[in-house]
Amino acid sequence: MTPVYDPHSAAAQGLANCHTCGKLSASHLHHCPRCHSPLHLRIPHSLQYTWALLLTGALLYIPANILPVLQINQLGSSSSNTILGGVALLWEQGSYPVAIVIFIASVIIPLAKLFVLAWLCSSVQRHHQARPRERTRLYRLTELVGRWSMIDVFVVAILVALVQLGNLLAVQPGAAALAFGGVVIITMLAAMSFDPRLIWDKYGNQHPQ
Amino acid sequence: MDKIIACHECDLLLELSEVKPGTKLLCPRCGYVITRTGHQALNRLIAFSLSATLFFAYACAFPFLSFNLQGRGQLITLLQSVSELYQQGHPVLSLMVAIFIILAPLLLLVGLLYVLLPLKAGRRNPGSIVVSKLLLAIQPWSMVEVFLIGVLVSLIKIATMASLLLGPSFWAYVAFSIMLTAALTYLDRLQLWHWLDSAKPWRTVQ
Repeated sequence: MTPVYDPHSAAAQGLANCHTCGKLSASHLHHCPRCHSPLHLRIPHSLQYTWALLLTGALLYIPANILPVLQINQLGSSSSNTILGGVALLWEQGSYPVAIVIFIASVIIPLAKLFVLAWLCSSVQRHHQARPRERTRLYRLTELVGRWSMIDVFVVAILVALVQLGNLLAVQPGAAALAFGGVVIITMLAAMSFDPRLIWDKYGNQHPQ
Repeated sequence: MDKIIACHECDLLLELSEVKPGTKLLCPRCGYVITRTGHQALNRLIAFSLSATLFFAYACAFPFLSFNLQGRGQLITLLQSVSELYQQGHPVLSLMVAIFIILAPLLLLVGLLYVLLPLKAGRRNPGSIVVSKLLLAIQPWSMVEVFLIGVLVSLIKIATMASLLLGPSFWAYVAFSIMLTAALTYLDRLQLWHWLDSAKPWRTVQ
């Protein structure tokens, strides 16, 4: 597949924009003359990498939500919570703002990221031409908010590190904590491997790959 | 800065006229922030990075969090939170915390100062290009402010069973987070490389 680059793009002039330092160089050079980063017109295999990471993230999202994220042992009795259970508990205790923050950071953002990136990938593959500006904005947003999903992992880490009083009160991390941390890291990598310039390329009548 | 550049996110070819300090240039096609040059950007970057480093050192030295339950209690420092997790048999969790809240921000600060300080004298430290590449790669993995929100949430989460207390280090870490964020608002990719381009190495080999 050779995309037909937009005539206003640097790629159409045979110029590659260095990802790291932003210097334009002739695309036949393999490395940026200024910072020596690998040089290419578009991130190689961007869609394949993004799809693979999205799939991994989606698979990890299942244990991250089914398994307990936190286990609290208090005076011989133990209770464990999933991510959603933790949100429900905070809601019942009347901590509405915190419950909403955790719900957005731990449930909405990762799901939205997976769906938005999958939709962006498929829109590029279907040579979708409409609303490139809005799609680029949506991409920028997924890149911006991704790290905030880590809140729950940090909550688990803090409580486990601090609250250890044997039988009186002790906190253990659940398997979901790692799975969820994995989801956040992998979706961040997925957003990084997606090349938003693909949104602006035109493909003529050819089919990609 | 280079005269001809391309937008990082939509690849539009653009011709830059002279960029004055205090301007923010948006890509006319996709709205990406192409460059944002603050007034006194280099001075402020150095000042904020230095104070962030000081606050970080302070944050490592004192208790970060403590809690009390029926007369028994515990207390941890920032670094102990990592080592506690490791000793309790959670190496991956401990590694994630260490990278996101200690190593990445610290490397970011040390790297920034290493690259930026000699620029004041119009010079470039050896390896500045490699360090700058590293800086830009590390930046998204520093999660200082996310961690702070995490601390506040854990206070509330455990509130019904025990009360957590914020130690002096917590407030130092808050200050560190503000200083780091302030520094990073003055870090502009194109400007950083322009500074590096115009600086000379310390000794020119004949």
